[in-house]
Amino acid sequence: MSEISKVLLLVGSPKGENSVSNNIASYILEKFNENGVKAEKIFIVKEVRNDEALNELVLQAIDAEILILVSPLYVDSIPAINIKVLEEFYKVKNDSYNKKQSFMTIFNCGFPEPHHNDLAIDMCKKFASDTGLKWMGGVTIGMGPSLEGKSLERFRLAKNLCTGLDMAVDAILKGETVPQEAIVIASKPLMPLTIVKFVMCNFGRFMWGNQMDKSVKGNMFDRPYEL
Amino acid sequence: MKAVILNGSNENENPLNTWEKLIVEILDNYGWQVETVELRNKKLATCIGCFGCWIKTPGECILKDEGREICKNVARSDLLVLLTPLTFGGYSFELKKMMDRLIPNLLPLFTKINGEMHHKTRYEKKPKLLAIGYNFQHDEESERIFKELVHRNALNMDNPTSYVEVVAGEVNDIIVGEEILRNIEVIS
Ligand SMILES: Cc1cc2nc3c(=O)[nH]c(=O)nc-3n(C[C@H](O)[C@H](O)[C@H](O)COP(=O)(O)O)c2cc1C
Repeated sequence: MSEISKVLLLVGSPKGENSVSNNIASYILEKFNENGVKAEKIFIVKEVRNDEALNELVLQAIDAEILILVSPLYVDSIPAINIKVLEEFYKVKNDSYNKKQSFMTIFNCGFPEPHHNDLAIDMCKKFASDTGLKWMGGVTIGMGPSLEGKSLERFRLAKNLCTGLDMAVDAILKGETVPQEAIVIASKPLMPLTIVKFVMCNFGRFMWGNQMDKSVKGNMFDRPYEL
Repeated sequence: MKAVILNGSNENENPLNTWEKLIVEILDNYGWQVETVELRNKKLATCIGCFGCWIKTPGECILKDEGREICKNVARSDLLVLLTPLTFGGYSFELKKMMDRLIPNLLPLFTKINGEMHHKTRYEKKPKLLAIGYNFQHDEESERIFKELVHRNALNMDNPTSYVEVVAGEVNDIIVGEEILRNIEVIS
């Protein structure tokens, strides 16, 4: 049995349950549960709407031994709702909380190159250092939308991601630091980048065209504002 | 020439608010038309990640609050000024809630810039970008992150040029003012 007592997964996608972030968080949650460690999952988007709920969320986060933020990348950075939580956490966590806590993050983005997430990871690492949390590392995932609604376990392209996350969870369960190798493996591109970039650049219009609402099918390039 | 200032200061007492006024004055002297947005006083929803601005109401956020108007003014501007306290090296919540809502001005389509994937922009016109971050104390890592973030945002929004300043520690408004003036002279 692991000595880890409290694992908290913060799902940082504004899309909540129907998000890639939730998909990844659920995979990790399952791994902890399989090993007899009760992990909890909270959707930030549901809690930031009012001060009381936000405060409650921050207190729970401060109380966790292992804190894992799973989030999408928004505009090269952390989505606003998650910044709100980090700002509040920083304000509340003062010297009276001297408990040992560790922090890990997993970011997924739309572009295929995982490195787009690097700055968001750097910000989280800075947050950890400013709030006295032990930094466990940040996984970066490109082409995130391809993981939407999929079982990671059964999705061929997510094989490295699962292997890396398994290694990370194993280390956490043993009370060890997450090995760099786990982060590197989990952060490998889901597909060869040259191919994906070619497809996205050449067939993007078709890919997005298919998602357009029927009523605006031909309006992808609309310019609603007179400049 | 039009400028939009997005002030992401979290509180009323912050040097950023003084600099906002100074920037307005300088731009005014250069004949700019300036709109300032003190984001902490705006009730703006945060982005819900639906991509409705690309697939439902192309070019406009589906959320009907002031965010739409601000997005429109940014699209029309020649200069976008960002003011923010450095928050773990990034933007404050107040500024980020608006930054996340600027993606209607992009297209869903992809393009490669220096071999890296980015989005195409909806409008040919793109504002120049000036970002000023304030940190209550010097911190190399925060400053590095901030500069890199502004640089990457400028790539993604395809801003023709970007300028970034970090002011840290004890503030000397005269020196900061000179620095801002120098930047605006270059931009103008
Ligand atoms: C407002 C907004 C900004 C985004 N900015 C970026 C970005 O800068 N780079 C990127 O690669 N993807 C960006 N994305 C795409 C998301 O990161 C991507 O769709 C991700 O898979 C969403 O994950 P989720 O389902 O967990 O929310 C953005 C999406 C939204 C809605």
